[in-house]
Amino acid sequence: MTRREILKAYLAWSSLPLQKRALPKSNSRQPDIFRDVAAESGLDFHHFNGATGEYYMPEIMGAGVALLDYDNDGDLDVYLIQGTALDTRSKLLFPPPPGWKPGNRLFRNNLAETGRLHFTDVTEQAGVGHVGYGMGVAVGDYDNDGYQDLYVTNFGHNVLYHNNGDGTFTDVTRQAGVDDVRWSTCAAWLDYDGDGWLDLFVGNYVDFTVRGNKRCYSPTGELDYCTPKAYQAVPSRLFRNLRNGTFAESTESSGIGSSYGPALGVVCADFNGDGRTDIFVANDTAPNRLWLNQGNGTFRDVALEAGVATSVDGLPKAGMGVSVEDLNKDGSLDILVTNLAGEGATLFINNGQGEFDDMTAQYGLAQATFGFTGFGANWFDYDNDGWLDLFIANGAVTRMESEHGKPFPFAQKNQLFHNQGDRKGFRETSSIAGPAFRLPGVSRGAAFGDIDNDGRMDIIVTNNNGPVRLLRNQIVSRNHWLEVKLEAPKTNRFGIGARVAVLRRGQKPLWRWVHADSSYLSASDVRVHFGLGDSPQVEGVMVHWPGGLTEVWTNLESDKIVSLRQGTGRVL
Amino acid sequence: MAARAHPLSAADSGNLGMVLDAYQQYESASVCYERARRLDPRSFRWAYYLGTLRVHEGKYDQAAAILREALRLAPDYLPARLELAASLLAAGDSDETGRLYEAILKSVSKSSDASAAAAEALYGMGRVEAARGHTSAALESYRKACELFPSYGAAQYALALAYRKLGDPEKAEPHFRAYEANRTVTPPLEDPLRDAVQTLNLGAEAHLERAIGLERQGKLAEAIAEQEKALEIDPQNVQANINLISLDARQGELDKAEQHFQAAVRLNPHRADAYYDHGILLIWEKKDSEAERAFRQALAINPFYAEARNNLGLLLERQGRTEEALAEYEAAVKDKPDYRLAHFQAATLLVKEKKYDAAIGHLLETLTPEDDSTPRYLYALAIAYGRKGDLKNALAYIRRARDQAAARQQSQLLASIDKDLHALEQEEKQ
Repeated sequence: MTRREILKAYLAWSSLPLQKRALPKSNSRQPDIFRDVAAESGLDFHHFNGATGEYYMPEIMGAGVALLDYDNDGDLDVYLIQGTALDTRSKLLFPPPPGWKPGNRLFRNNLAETGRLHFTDVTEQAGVGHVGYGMGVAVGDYDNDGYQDLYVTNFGHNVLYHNNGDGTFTDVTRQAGVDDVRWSTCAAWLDYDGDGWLDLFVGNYVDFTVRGNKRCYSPTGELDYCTPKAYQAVPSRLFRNLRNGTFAESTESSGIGSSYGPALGVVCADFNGDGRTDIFVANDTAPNRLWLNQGNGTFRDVALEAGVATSVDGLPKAGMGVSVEDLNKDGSLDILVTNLAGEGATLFINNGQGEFDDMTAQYGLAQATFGFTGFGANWFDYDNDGWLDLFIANGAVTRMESEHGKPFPFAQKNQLFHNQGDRKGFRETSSIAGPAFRLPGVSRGAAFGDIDNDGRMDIIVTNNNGPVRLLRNQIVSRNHWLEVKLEAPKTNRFGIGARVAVLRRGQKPLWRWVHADSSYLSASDVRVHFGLGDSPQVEGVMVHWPGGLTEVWTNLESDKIVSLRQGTGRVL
Repeated sequence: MAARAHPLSAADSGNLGMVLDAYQQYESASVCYERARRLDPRSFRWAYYLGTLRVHEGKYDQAAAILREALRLAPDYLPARLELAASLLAAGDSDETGRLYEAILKSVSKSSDASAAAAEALYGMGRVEAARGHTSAALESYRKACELFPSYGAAQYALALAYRKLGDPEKAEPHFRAYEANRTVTPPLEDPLRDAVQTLNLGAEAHLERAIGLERQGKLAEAIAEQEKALEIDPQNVQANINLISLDARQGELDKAEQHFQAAVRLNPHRADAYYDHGILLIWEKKDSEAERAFRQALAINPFYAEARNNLGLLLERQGRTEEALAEYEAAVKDKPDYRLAHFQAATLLVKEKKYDAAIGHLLETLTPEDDSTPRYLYALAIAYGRKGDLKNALAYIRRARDQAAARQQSQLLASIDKDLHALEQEEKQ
């Protein structure tokens, strides 16, 4: 070989990008943990963001999804939030596909009638197809008639749909007095005054207007979406339920309006164990807020002192999705917040007194999430081993270098993490989670629930400018489970805020709590799911109802979905 | 082109990497730095740049390995030593991190930015001790870091949390306040190698960012120069024109300010902030009716623009249109409930109208957070209570106002407060 040939070969070699050694193929015959069954089950939905090349901020932020049993037939239905064109004069960059229908869509699950997981679009009959720039949805029975209602947030007017109980809904926004014309994002139902009637928190974002759109640029000078810092935050709202179908604004009187940021994520829970529902708000590029319920109709923000306003180095992070559960089984609620690529998610572990430590790195989540912009997320036990695992829906909000040249350069892959057990942290299992985890997308909302009632938790994920994905859990496992649906006869009918524990001999109670909020712009199954591990034994289930009543039920079997009606258990 | 023309030149590959790095194209920059490092393994700078990119990517294990190698070539480069320690801390290696920070603390007294480096090392030591569960030791390190550099936001925050953890919320409080006043401030450590990368970003947006930083430091002339450089590169840059409206006005260059406003609205007639800044300019020029028009234009574009409403209220109040002014102040605080100035303006008007309860309601919203405006707001609250006939509250608040004004050395305000305090105390004696 001549010197020239050697040099040519070297140049050819050195011009190659670094090659990673290919991983050996797995010989495992385990099926993928999750399989996307959206198309085959009739969930025909493609999010339309209305982009025209002007880079209006709302285009990149939506949208959410709700899992709810709107017709009380025992299976979970799906409500998907849709976008629209903010600028009807300009040419669309991504026109919707043929057959696409505008407006939000409600899909009824036919599982209860047919035994088969399949969905029918019932939007028109139900009357919930609001056409607007949809952001998120909150599910709650605000009038205690036993049917779950919908509150839809928009860039623009919001909508409260009252569930009429006969398969239809009525838009009662004006009468109820819960509209907000600003850019609303997250919303959550909570009973903050303890009267048994759900009140409403509405998170608002920034003062963007289409007319006043600002042009922002990537580091390389291309037009890009602005960050929230280009605008000013607008305050969130709190509405108190007056128990007659109407609400009174209590933003000022409650103190919620006294400090705020661009709100994107919200969870309402009792963070300090005093029996009152508090509100955690994830703010985008601003300190988070932890509003502690003072018990007198007011709240006090303690995020800074509690250690949840920022990351461990005092820097506010992006703050999009929120998930709250008792991760380490110590009886107190821990908080996960998803953030931008370059920041990583933040895991705040509760010390039991409502004070938190940033333990992201110790739990193995810092490096793993660092390269991703996370949105919808939740703790859920995907393998029923009794430990809460984690799913994060990812998708960028500004141009990605690796996606350069693509028409929509924001796609990332979603992530699945397995909880290794008692304070051992998390291990990423995306590579064995299924093909859907290898598909990059601009994922946003994520709702969690047992959509086929088989005891395995499923996930529905929305993609900005893309198709919905229904990730059906098909893990093969001998672990046992229990799902609990609470019923209260008169008020707070679904037991929002109740704490539920599975009692097992020789083991600490396994606590969960009843809620539909968390994740990003989405609402999850209000039933409480327990993974029980390899033992089917259940001594009983204890419920701490909001209001103080505690009951226990015994003679319950595992691997079932049970309804527990208030007043039918043994009172403690 | 140079890199392609000289594929075996480490310098050309590395320099290309620096340009890509400057424009935040980190993946591509990484490839160039790796190549440069392969071609010239004895160069500290390529290894250092690659290590800092790995930190930026959150790949702390890799960053630590590369920075270790780099420091074999230049053991005294302080920023690299600090970066290595921080990477190891993030990767969870407390023991080696602790050793590194201790070594840095021993050696920094000889360097020119000793206190900045020491503050950072002490903060790092605190994080190590905290990770080990030694809260008291962590507190001590944070405290020393804050002594060296009181506006070190992260250290103040960590110190506050340490006090909280040890059950001393009272001691935590002033450190939380110090952190809030200096959230993103870090000790100014010189890093000539990283500075060399930053200067390669010749884009308009980079100049705008530098301008913002200079403005925050009060260096208005330099901030203007950076904004104008942005305009040289991109004459269509609306934001630079808008920023220059207020910057030029503050330098007394009102004609220039006006020109930049005209340029901004020619480029984009729908920027509410352009009209807002123009409105401020017109107020300075005592052109109130034109200023009113400007704020109304801002509100037509952005109806939630609380500051525009507040200023519009001020102009209406000057014209004696008090009901309309009050409506604007009320709308401003509805859009921005924590807008203390608007609350104050509304309260002042309400006191004139003898609507003391409503005024007091507004003024109570101005008391947090505490800053240099607080004495004035407390004083106004005292006056409102006094006029209402509530002597007890009037005295309580005026005494607080006095203490705060004295602590902040606001002598003019203090003199005024003392006069009214004396009057109230006389009234009390009667």
